Amino acid sequence: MLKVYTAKQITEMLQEQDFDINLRTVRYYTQIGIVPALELVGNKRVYTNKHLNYFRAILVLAKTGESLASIQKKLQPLDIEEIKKIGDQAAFFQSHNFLEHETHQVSEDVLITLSPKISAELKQRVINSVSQIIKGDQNK
Amino acid sequence: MMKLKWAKSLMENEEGTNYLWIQFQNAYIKKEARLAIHLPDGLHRSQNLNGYFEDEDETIIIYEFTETTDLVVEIFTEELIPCGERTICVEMRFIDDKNQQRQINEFIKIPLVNEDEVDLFKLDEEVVRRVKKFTADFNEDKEKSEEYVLNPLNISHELSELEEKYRVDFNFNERSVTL
Repeated sequence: MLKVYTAKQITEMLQEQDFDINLRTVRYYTQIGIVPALELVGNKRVYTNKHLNYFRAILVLAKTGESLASIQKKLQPLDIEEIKKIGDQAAFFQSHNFLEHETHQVSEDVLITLSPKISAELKQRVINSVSQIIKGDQNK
Repeated sequence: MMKLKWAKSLMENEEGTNYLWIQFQNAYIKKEARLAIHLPDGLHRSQNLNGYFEDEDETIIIYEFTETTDLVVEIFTEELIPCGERTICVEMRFIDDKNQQRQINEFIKIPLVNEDEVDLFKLDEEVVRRVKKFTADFNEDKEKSEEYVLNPLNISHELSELEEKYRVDFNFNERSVTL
């Protein structure tokens, strides 16, 4: 069954996921068409998980300093799975991750982000293991 | 002299947002302009999206005008306030092209409606396009930037024993060097 939400519920869910947004911005983005048109259920227009994923993706891209116009353009050709993936990267933009986590670039395409809770020995093993997997894949 | 436009023709009387776009006839403005936006009770505004300096009284100061200088602010409601029309006044003081100090006031009205009626609004696409060009990470709840106090550098003019002993005094007029 389709899960439906009000603007207030969407705002609360986003805030619980550490996104910095308020109800009036959710309403405004809806009104100017940054997110897809709301679904009509009975005589009420409602938000669904699709809208939630759009908001998450918009807020992640906003952290990179992009304008709303540019974000809208980037999201337009994407399908909902790709939009969901963008939203899933929200954790990278939380400030404690910038301050505490270490990021290692194993190859051009692979980055590993490690919490300071991980011991130095485990850190090295993770990096070595991933490096070997990448090397093995390149030698195929 | 000033043209005011809304993004939305109506706004919610609770948790509603709208954007006010102010355009200027810049040829008449010679020097910096100071703008004050007077809001009725229950309406609030963000810091300007353009990033112009705002002083303690929330006066916006635009030091330099070009052909494209404009101003965008978010106007919003928080708690529930009575529906009805409200008027906003934008006051601008500036030095004109004839070096005269001038002040002009422009007014714009906005109807406040409850959430169910807001669907009747009309969007001004030109204003919406302008607002979309600003970074989307602008957070209207942000407090004004924290003030940083820079302590003045304390320079002592006392010379150490070695400095006293080995300093070189040079005077351009006397052209003498003492060692």
